[in-house]
Amino acid sequence: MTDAPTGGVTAVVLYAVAGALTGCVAGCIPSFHVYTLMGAALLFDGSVLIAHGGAGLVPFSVGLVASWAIVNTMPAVLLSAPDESALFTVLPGQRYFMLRRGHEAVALAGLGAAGALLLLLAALPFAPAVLPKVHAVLSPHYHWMLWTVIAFLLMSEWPKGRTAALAPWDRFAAGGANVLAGLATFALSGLLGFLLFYRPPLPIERASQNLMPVFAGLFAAPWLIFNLIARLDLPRQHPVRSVDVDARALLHGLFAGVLGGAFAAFVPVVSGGVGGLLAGHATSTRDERAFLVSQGASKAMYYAGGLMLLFVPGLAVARGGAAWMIQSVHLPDTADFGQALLALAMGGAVAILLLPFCARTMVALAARVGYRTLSAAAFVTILAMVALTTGWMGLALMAVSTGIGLIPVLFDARRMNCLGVILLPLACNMSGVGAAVAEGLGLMR
Amino acid sequence: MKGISHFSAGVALASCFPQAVEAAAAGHPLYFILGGVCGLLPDTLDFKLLRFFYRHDMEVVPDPNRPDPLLMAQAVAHAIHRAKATGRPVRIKIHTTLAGSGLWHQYRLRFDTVGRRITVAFTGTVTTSRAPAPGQPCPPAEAAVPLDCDVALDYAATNEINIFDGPVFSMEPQADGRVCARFIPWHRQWSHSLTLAAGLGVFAGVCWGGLAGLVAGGAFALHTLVDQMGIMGSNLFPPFTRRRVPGFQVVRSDNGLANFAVVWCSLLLTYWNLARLAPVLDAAPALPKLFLYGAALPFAVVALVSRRLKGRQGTRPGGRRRRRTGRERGTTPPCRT
Repeated sequence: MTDAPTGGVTAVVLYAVAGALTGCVAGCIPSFHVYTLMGAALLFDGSVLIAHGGAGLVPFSVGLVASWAIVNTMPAVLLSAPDESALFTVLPGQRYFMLRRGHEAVALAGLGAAGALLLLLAALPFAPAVLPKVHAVLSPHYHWMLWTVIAFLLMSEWPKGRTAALAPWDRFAAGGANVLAGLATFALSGLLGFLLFYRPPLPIERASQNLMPVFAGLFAAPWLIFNLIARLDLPRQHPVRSVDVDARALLHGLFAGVLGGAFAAFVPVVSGGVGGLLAGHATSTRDERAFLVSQGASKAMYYAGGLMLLFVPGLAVARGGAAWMIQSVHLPDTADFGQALLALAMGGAVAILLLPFCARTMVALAARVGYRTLSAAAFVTILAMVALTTGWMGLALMAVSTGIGLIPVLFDARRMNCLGVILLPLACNMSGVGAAVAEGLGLMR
Repeated sequence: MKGISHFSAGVALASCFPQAVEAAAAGHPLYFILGGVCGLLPDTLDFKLLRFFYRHDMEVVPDPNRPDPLLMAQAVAHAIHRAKATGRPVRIKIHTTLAGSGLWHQYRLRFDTVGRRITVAFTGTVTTSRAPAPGQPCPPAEAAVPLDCDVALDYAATNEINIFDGPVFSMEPQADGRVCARFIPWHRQWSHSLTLAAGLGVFAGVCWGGLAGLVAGGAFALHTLVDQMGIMGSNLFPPFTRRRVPGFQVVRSDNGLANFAVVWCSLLLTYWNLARLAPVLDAAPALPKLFLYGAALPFAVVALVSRRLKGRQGTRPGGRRRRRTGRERGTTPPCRT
């Protein structure tokens, strides 16, 4: 453990800006998660994060996470062109990109993120008076909230298959294929999660990195593999000076994103994607511009808001990987709250200012070296990170996870079902039945 | 109402039972899971099971490359005429059609009961989230086919058909000589009944105890009652009743603000129920105060801002000002239920 940070305002600003710049670079790398970077830094050399006796830890981490959350919406828009096999699941960002409006999509997401951070900064000073009470009321109930989120996630997958001119059972099979694939994905990833929690395949000294190869396999690898095999020419993108969005769509998207991100940040284990899905359903977000704004807002609120909960006086709950990692080397105190607020403002401002530059650079780079080469480079980087931090067993775990992660992509199901890897075992553990289920699965012998 | 509205209403209902809250605080999530799942179950039964097994006599599959509104209007008119001629119901399924990756042709099927004709009009291309897709070519515009008989309706006269799965109409001859076009006749039948809610309650009660029965049956019944606020209504007491009872037409089921209001009020009620039984004494505000500051005032502000923004959008050139009517029926009386 380190002492409480003692740096002055200038030091805090400098560390926050350094974190923000690092986050911007990391955010530009497709499928590269900020937690992977933080985990690797902690694993190999904690001094990277615990600079100067802890003075830099909080502002650097907050700046890093906030800027990464803002910039990282970009690769999903600018480097994931759908091919003709994507019948139903062309995301608004992808459509904007194919219409040569990728920069506009990035700007809309950036607007959402900026709005969410402003709201977060405005709300956080009141948090010490409200959130500890709300947390005290809800903390015995998080387990059932998680179960109901799982139930809704599984029940709300819409059958997408075409059923024209088919007999009833064939209609059921064709129409419900994606629903069944989603259920299978959730079940398989849940089983994998139980394996990780109750019989971790990695050696004990690498056990803290258990989830890293699995997340890389479930989420990053399938996307990159499809990028590599798709043969598409990326459309040239129009530069933008303004965005086409009215106040109604902007406010709608901001509201939905902030609601979903805040819910996910506060309730343990629920991810930003799940929070966004729930908020999208609740607020009927259909407008593509509102959707893009909500994506940016939700991600910023989830990552930055979740991390900030660690520093709220009287609350100090760890939500998300960054908070857990910081908590493992530093116990937050009241002095951290002000630093974290300042770092959040600085990190967010730097990322918002650099976002257009990052987008232009990425588009130029993709045009020069090709998006398949970029995807290949990202894939190699992730493989190298997994191999370095977790060894051969990590690579094997990543291969298994990739197999599971490909199911929803191939069957047009929600990729979010892969979150069964943490949702199922943790919901069981929080309800006190995890060990019994693991025993039943033969993982305790 | 949308799935999440029913789901959250079911959870809120579970939270109204202090024993359920106490059990949940002790680590037993059953009652809340039952509340949510049974709240959503009626639509799950309909949309993920029953609709696949409903028999169709005719299917209309538009050509994705050259969708022809005339052929489609003729097919619907043919179904009506055949029902009239044979005296037996004819079920016609109208499929959607893809216009590209994640893009769908949108068309409007209208039963013009006054002019006694069927019109089909292609109105553009939309995305899977039903948002207009700009820059997409629009297929040929509109066609109308006259009818030989009067038509009665049990739902809206105008139907927008766009994404995933299209609707089914059951054309049923009536004693008064008209043919009733029943909209998605497989929906909101026994799956949305109070009879099944009672049965489910008894089943859950036998399996998990009386409280589980109350929560499961109550959440299921709440779904049916909330849906009854809309236009279509439900078949409330099968096998004693055979038709849907028309809804109270308070609000359309796809109204975004109404759905959000249900979700938000359910969350507030759930929080209040948890807080009043929590050991933290000052965490539970008075219920009227909670709903005044947590729901009534914010919704009033949202409604005001929304109206203002709508007005501003409407004054722009090309801005939309059309308000959706509550029930777009023809002027002829509806089908008898």
